[in-house]
Amino acid sequence: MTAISMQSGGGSAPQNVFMDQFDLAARTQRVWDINHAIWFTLMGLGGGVFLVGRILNLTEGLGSLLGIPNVDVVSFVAIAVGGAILVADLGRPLQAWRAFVNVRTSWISWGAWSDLIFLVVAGLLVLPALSLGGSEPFSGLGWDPHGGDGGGLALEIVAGVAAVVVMTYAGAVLARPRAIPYWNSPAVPLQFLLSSAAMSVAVVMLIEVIAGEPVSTGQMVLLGVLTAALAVTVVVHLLTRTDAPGKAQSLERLLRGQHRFVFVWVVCAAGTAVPAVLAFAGAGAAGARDALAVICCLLLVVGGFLLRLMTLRVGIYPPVHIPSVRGPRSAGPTAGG
Amino acid sequence: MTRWGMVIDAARCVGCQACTVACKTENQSPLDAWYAPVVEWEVGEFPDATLNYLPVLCNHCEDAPCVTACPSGALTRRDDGIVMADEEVCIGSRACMTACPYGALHFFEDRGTVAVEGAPAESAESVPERYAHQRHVRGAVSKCTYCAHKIDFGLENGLEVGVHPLATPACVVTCPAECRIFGDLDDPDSNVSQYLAGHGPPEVLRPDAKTLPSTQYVGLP
Amino acid sequence: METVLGERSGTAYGDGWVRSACTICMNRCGILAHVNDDEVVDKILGDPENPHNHGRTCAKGDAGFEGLTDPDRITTPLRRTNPEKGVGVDPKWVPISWDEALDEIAGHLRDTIADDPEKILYTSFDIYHLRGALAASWVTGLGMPGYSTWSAAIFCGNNVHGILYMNQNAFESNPDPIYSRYILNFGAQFGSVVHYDTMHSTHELSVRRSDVRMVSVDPVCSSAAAVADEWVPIRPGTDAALILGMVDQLINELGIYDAEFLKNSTNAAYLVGTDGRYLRDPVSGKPLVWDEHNGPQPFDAGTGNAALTGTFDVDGAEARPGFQMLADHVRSYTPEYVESITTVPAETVRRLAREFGEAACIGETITIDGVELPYRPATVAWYRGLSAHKHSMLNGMAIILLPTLIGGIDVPGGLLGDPWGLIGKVKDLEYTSKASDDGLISQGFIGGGRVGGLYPPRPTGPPRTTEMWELLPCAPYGTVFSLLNSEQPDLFGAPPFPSMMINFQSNMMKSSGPPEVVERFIKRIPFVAAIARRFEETTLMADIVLPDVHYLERMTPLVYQHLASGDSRHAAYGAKPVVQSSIEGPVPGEPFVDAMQIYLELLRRADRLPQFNEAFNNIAKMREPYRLDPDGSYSYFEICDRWLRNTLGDDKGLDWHLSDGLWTEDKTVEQKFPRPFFDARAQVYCEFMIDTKQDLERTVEELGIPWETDDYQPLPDWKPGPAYERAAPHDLFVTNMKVPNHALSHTHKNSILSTLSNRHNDLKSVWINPRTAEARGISHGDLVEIETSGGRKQTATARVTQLVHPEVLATQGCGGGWGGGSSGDEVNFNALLNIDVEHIDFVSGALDCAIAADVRTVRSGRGGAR
Repeated sequence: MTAISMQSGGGSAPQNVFMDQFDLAARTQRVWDINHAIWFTLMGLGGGVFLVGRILNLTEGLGSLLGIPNVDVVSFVAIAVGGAILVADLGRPLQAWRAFVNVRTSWISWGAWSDLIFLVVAGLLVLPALSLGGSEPFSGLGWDPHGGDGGGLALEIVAGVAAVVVMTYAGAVLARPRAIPYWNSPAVPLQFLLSSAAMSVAVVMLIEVIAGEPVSTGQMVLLGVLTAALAVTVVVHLLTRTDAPGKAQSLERLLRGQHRFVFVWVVCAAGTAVPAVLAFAGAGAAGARDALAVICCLLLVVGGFLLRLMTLRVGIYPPVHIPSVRGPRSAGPTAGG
Repeated sequence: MTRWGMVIDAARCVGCQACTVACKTENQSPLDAWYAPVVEWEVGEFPDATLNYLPVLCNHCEDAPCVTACPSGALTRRDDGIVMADEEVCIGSRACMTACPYGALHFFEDRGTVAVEGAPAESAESVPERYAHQRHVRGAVSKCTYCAHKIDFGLENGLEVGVHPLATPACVVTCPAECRIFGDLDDPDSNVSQYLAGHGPPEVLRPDAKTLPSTQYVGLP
Repeated sequence: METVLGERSGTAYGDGWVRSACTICMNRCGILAHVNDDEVVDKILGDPENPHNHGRTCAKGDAGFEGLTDPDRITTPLRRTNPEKGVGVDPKWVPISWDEALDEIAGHLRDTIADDPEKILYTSFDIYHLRGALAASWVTGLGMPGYSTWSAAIFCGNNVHGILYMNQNAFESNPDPIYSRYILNFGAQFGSVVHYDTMHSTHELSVRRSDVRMVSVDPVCSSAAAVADEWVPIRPGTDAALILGMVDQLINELGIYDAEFLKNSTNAAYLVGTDGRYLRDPVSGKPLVWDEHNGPQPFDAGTGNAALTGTFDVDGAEARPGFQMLADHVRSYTPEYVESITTVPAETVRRLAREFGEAACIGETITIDGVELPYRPATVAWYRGLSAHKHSMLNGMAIILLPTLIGGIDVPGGLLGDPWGLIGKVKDLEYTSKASDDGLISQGFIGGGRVGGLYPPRPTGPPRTTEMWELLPCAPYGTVFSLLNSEQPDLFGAPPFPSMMINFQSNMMKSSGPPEVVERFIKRIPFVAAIARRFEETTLMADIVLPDVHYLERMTPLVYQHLASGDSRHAAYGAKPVVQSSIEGPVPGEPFVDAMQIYLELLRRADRLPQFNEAFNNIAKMREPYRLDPDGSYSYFEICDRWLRNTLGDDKGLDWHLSDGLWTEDKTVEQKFPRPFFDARAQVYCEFMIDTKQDLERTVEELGIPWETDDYQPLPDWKPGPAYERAAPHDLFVTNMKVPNHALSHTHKNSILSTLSNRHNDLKSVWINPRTAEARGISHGDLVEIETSGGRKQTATARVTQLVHPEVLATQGCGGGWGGGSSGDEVNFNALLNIDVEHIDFVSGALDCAIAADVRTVRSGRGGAR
């Protein structure tokens, strides 16, 4: 008589950001977690690798797949996979097209558009290079897939702008509302942007190493500068508004509490400080540069992913109300007086 | 213009959770989603200790962060100030949930599990659950609507909103301590405006979030 | 089949709304239930026209429609085929026909009646029937003296009902929600939404909350203490010491008492001799008082100058007024002594007495409806917290002194009575209590229940049932002795044991005692029938199960008759079918609307209809032309129609009930505040206890059985309960408290309410003070084991909180269990109780619910509880 009947499609459970809905306490958001950290990372990487490849003119000479430059392939794959995870994580993936609706105020809508525009425009850009079974069916398209002519450059610029938005918007989604004080800061999208850029430079270096091409001193310096800027941004964010309700709890968890090891040692030390040092060291040591580039890439990608995951996991809402008086209900008038 | 709002006199609340359940049955919210809970917290040290209560619900903000964050346009603010979630339009991005300082949005997740963790197994079959499935869209976000369907019903049928039980939010109707008053904040003669006038300036939750809530409080502990 | 439904346009709220009544707790609020297009009830509102709850409902009432379409509902009579019976044993039910089921039960009834009708045990806490004439007539018709409420009846009103009958002829009493300004809760929940008259009280208090000071004396900061202005933590089971300390302060230190009231409306001035008995007039036999001018006079001589204090010489005999006896008696309860017992600081004892006394406004009056009445806006509330103790009746005798001393009974601001004695009398309402020969309030008419008063005490004799009613001359019920006799059959010479039991809406297995004890008791009963909507823990012990209807399918007239004193309107109303049950009932062709239909069928088959008809005529005070012909056979609907017309008027029969069904009437000022208009006296000095004790001692000596009679004393004392002298490691008290979103045990099976309590109250938790937790190495969130000195155990999650006395482990609600809808990992407090002589009060039949216990971590956890 206590049979548990399965409903078709299984049962269901609702979810609220405040799982302990009956407690007045600072509460941690549990809506976004590892899936979001992965697609945040992939989007940043995807946009960044394209941009780095284009800015540093590295589309040629680093190999290609079906005629498409490897840098671009890495970019497209990252964004496509990230987008797929994003869509799969939606409550109603079949309705995903509606994400394009609210461009007026929603950063997610901006992100959706930028993802789409990037994939379409960058795809168009490289289309002439597409090689299928020896033939290049779109070679007749009148622009240079490496941006060497006016048409190509125009497409490159549009795709590049879209890529910048792709790299930034995840951070902006977090930073815009005031609900979670740790997130509500320009430092968060800036961290995401710098982390994406640094990761991307390192990934491009990795591609160079794999392709047997030399990593330039300039690249190493650029990587060092980006990583150092990331470090500065992280530190500044950790040092501002430290006692704001909600943010104080976030900082506590990152610096002293349950996330201390991952954040302090993996994200900050191994994922940021070490690659910054290694990058500058690599700039002056051409012989060790390949090895350093590979190490930096590994550290930065792991660090970048964990930076995003930690940021999500310390998304703490302060209590909806901070009681003014700490004490029992004050005594009312003594009756009978 | 009309701007529907609720004034909660927190000093009157006895923490009985009648509002919590009345809301649930009126809106047939998913079993473990509580649109209008009464939160509580301990204060003081034994023997001078006690529990304080605070009813919370959607604040129906004038500058609603959920509406701003929503990519699909499922969340909108009506002309009368009520923030609505159109579950058919919602894509389940949950951006609103992270944007709301009040935890007022609830994701009806399809986890493919048998029952809500911690709830009796039979709940998967209970009437409230079944109706939640009929009334709400899985994978979408739902929320307090100030019982907009009741307000609209009242306006269509000439019932006084905030007074008549069928034209007043369920949490207001049920409250035995009469903590809650519902009416037009834009009308200086309305019940809410008059109550606020008699009880000093209203307070809001999370003033730092600058959301300009229509749910306002007096007597906050 | 004919359809019988409450009218859906009977309200101003348009289609689909039916006026009915709630049955979740004793308040029985008026509700409007909404039926949707699928013929399913999907919403419940309070009935705005009902003066009892003003259109409000609580969390429980809001969730009440849950279970209507429960897939686990019992839809047909069932027979057990597994001869083995017990917890966790599958009864192997097989469906049987109504005829087969009814004939079998009726056969057992016939056999048992032929042997001894009192061997039928009818256990019910059905709230609709509890105060009505129907179920009372059913048990009377079977030849039983009354039915046994069980479950909550082991705990709830042992020291409440009799005490209230004694001093105000009331079954329940409540603080005046409109005029009181100082309310002292002793372990009670007045002010929270889990008490009597909650909706009305909460509404009235909220309107003038800042004018009222509420103080909760409670080992735990329970929900009422949390809304009070002050929580006074107290060691469990010591309230009587605090109360008597306050009485000492009021009389002997502050001199605050209502002398006029005490002289004229109580026996405080009756002269008491050195033997403890009244001095009586040699001619009339009436108790004497000492008139300041004329010396000894009969109490009713109308002197108006009776002395309350002093020692007098009456024909050579030394005599003191009862009030002087009390004043001398309480002198030993000094604040410092009280502190040593209760842990309440001496200064708080003094302050509470002063606050209470000053708030009483003695001498002041208030004019209501043009009549000047005493104004006594200070009062008390108590229920299980004071009642569920070893010396329960003494606790009750102590607490009633506070409102009695200040004259705060049935006057504005005071303790307002809800007279049980008025059943069946609504329109020609009158205060039915009469004065005894000694001028004292004697209990008025009682319905069919065994609920008894304190005064006049019943004569004692050999026990006729296992409840030992005949040896409990002052108790409201003796339910707990059934369990004691089952556990120790030879202790009292094996009084007659039930031959059969019919169980209805009383989940004894979960709500009365440790499951293994109740299990042994039920297993000893040769035949058990249960009427149930789903398989509750007790249903699973039955031999035959009959289906029951949900309360929103029920048609039960007059489930509520709001006749309490106080400045509110009278109301009477009942329940009607909001939707039709799809379950076939006991009468072919008749819609199934109430278990009473089953009872009428059983009475018919057991040839007891004539006895039922006569009992009903008697209990419901039926007049011509509505009286039932003893030889007639009436359908349930016809009986209801006649009962309604007889009670509310000829135009208010069944049709009126189904279409409208709410009767209200203004009260006269005498009905609002009857005390000033009423002659019979309340008691300060319970002289009758002396004779009762002698009578009882004589009887038990003749029977040759052990019995405790020490607590039959005319003035109350605090005495230590069994857990007071606690020895390590069981040096804590484990106690239990109510939560506002649950009532009794059945709401724990409501999925909405149980989900709420999982998230909110967390009924898996036990509250432990941080000091205690630290001393025992317990952290917040640990899985802990509570072990009583009796060796009983429960596991729980530790909630380390400032809201509990350091000597106390507090559990909540009546959760746990293993039947359908139960959540087994909730703490089942009743499983910790001790059913033994040490924990039972032999005066009131109460069971002590403050149990000596130890607690220790079995698995550490982080933040599991809150």
